[in-house]
Amino acid sequence: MEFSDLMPAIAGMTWKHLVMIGVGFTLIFLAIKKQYEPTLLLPMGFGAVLANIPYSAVLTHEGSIIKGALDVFFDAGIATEVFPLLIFIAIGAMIDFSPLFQRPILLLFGAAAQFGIFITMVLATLVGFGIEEAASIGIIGAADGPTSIIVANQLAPRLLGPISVAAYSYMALVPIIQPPVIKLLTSRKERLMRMRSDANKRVSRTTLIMFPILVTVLAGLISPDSTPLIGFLMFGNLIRECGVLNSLSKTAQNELANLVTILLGITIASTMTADRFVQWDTILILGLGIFAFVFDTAGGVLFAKLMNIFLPEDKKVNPMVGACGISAFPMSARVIHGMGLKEDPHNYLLMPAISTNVGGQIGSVIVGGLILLLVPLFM
Amino acid sequence: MNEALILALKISGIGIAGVFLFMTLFYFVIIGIDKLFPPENKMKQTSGQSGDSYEDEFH
Repeated sequence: MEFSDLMPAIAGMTWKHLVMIGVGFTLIFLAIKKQYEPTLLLPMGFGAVLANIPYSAVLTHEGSIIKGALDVFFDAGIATEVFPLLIFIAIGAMIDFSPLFQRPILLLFGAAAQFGIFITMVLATLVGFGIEEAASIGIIGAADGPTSIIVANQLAPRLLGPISVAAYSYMALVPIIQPPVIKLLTSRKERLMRMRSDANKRVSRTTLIMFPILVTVLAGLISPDSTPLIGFLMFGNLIRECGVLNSLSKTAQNELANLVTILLGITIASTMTADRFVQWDTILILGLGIFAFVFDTAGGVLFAKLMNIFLPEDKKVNPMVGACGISAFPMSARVIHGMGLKEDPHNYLLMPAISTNVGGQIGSVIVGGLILLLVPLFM
Repeated sequence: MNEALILALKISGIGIAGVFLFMTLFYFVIIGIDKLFPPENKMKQTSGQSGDSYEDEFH
C-alpha cells in the first residue's frame, strides 16, 4: 500500500491548494477581525478551505458515486439563481423607499454611479477578456453581490468565484475606497455645501405600495431580462409596505436573509478551487474590481457637479452625495454622512445620502438586467 | 481595435443611456404616484426613520 492510498489528501496537496487555503484563512480573518462583510466573507472563507482540501467530499470528484454537498447546493441555488433572488426578496423587505420621495431627482445618481461598470468593461476587453467575461467583471462595480453572481453565472461561470470575492470584499472596503476619490474630485467649499432638508415631507401608504408594483411592470415591459432582479427586489419591498404581511416582512428581513446568506456564501466557495482560482485572471479581476468602484464614485461625484450647473441655488446637491449612487447600502450613505460631519459638524447629509443610496440599489439591478439583455444581443 | 473592445464601447453607450432612461422613467413614476395618491390621514413620515433602520447589509 502506498502513502497516497492511505493519506490521499496529504499526498495530493499542491502549492495551489495551500494558496487557496491561505485565501480562505484571510477571508475568515477579514470577516472576524476587521468585520469586513462577515456574513458573506466568513462562509466564503470557510468554504474555500473545505473546497481546497484535496479529494474533499464536499465536491464531486471523478468516479464518486455521491455528489458533493457544495455541488448539490451550487446546482440547486446558484446555477438556478434561486439563492441570489431570495436575497433580493430579503433586501427589498429591508429597504424603505420613502426617502427617495423627498427628492426624487437624486434617483438619477443611481444611474450616474454605474459609470464604473461600463468603464471597467471596456478596460477588461483591453487586457484581453472576451465581451461576456468583461461584462461580468464590470458588474463588480454594481457593488451588489446578488447582481454580480447572477450576471457572472450567466455570462462567465468560470469567473464566478473571483468576481464574487471581489464584489463582496470591495463592498466592505467602501469606507476606504470612496473618501480619497471624493476628496480628489471636490473642493473643500463643495464638501461644505449644505442641502435643503425635505425631511418633513410625508408619503402616503398607497404611494409606497404602488411604487414597487409600477417599477416592476415598467422595467419588465422594457427589459424582460431585468424582471427577476427588479421583480424579486420589489416583491420583498411590497411585502414590507403592504402593511398586512408584517410577519412575512420580518421573516424575509431576518430568517430568510440569514439562511440564504449562509448557503450563498459557502456555496460560492465551491467555485474557489485551486485550479480555477490560482490564475493570473484572478489578480486581473481583483484589480479591475477596484477600478470599477473608483469610477463609480467618480461618476456620481462628477454628475452632481454637472447637475449643479443647472440647478437653482436652493436645490444644489453636495457633490459627495453623488458618490452614494452605488449600491453598497447603507454603507456608502454612512461614509458620506461621516465625511460631511468631518468637514462641518452641523452638516447632516444622511437623508439625501440615503435617498441616493436607495436609488443606487435600483440602478444596480437595472444595469444587471441591461447587461444580460445587451451582451447576448451583440454577440 | 479588437472586436471585443468595439462591442464593449457599443454596449457601454447603450447601457449608460438605458440606465438613465430607466431612472428618468422611475423619477416620473415617483412624481406621478406622489401626486395621484397624496398623503392621507394615516401617513408615513419619512423623517428620521430611514437612517436608523438600516442596520445590516445583505447584498
